[in-house]
Amino acid sequence: MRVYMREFKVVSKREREIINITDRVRELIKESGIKEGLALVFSKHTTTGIFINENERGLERDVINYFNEAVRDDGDYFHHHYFYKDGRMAVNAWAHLRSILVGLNVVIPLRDGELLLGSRENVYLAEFDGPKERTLVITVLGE
Amino acid sequence: MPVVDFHIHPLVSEVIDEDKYKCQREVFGLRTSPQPLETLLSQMQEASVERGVLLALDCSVKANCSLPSNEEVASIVKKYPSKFVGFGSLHPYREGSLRELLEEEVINLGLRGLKLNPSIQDFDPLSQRALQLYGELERLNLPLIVHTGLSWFPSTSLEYCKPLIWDNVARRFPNLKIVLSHLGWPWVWDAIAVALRNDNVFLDISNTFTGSPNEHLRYLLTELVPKRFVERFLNEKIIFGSDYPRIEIPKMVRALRGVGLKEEIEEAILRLNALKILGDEE
Repeated sequence: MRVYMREFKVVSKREREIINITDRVRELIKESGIKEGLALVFSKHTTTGIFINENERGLERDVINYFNEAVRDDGDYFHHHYFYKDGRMAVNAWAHLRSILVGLNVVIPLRDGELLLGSRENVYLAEFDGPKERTLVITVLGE
Repeated sequence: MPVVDFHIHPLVSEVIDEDKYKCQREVFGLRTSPQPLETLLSQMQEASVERGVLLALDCSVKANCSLPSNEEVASIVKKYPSKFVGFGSLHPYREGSLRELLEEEVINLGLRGLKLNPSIQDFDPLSQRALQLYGELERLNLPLIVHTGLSWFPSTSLEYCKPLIWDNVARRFPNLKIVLSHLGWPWVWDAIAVALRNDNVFLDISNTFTGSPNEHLRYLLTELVPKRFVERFLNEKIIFGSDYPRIEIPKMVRALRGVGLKEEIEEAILRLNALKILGDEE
């Protein structure tokens, strides 16, 4: 079995945004040369999420609106204190909580070197604390 | 309403190499990875910030580094002249003539003010050499922004962070515009006292110290200091700043807008007072 692993960057432009990364994932699958197997797409940031859903503009807005309502910005969060490890205040508990709800990775099967996605399915990065440059990791396992 | 952000540290990946990142961690106390300039610009756009004041920090005497250097600030301003105003930094204990250093490293680079942080840079703000520097700034009509308030980093002097120090400076140099950062927190009323009795002293409200930006600015501008006091006494004194990258710009702008100040006071804080200090009022 072959293993292909690579980090890649995605730059968000909004504070809260979902970004369709399907084409970038397809390019990397092609680059891997692996035809049959699994692709794992993973985000290295705990204020982001990775998910698969339908590519539709209205739904993309609904996703952001849903998370804004599901996790309040102005909650009484223990996280909002000085964070010595970073040398700055931690002020984004809501972004971490939204990230937990979404999850940080997806696994997609591969067949004939292509992502075996349904016709409506796309791979998204959810940005909950942007705009920022984010590092994602793709790992492809197979032959 | 467009916003002026008076307190941005351009610690972007384009200028923070490995050595500077070490300095950022060990001297500036910030341990998050630098982001590209592109995301700083996006944060400004997201928060309707039309202009940002980029601050250099000369740590050359203490640690032989700058975060970033005057040249680096100038190069970013040159690339985006409508977006940024640059402030240089000069450690007062540097060897040589302060007048010549200011001309070479600030005036000639098109920088329009000076940033000092006596605590991080490690100098006595009332030393003879520092007083000479303020005199030169007054002569050149260059505004000064200084760190006041808590420094979390334990290796730095807390004594040099106290706002009352600047009353002495403001009275000696009445034509030098001085911005006290962070509203001097936790010595907020000391900072206010200095600003109230000196026409040349202003206060920036950058960063958050007591919780989220929403919690902090609401506490600062409606509880610790009554809202009526902010609106009646400090309406021409307070300017907006974020302290990026120690905090994201959209969070700070949203927090200020959420305080519930009268619209004209909000506009003064978010824009007009800063333009007056810069001499750019319309």
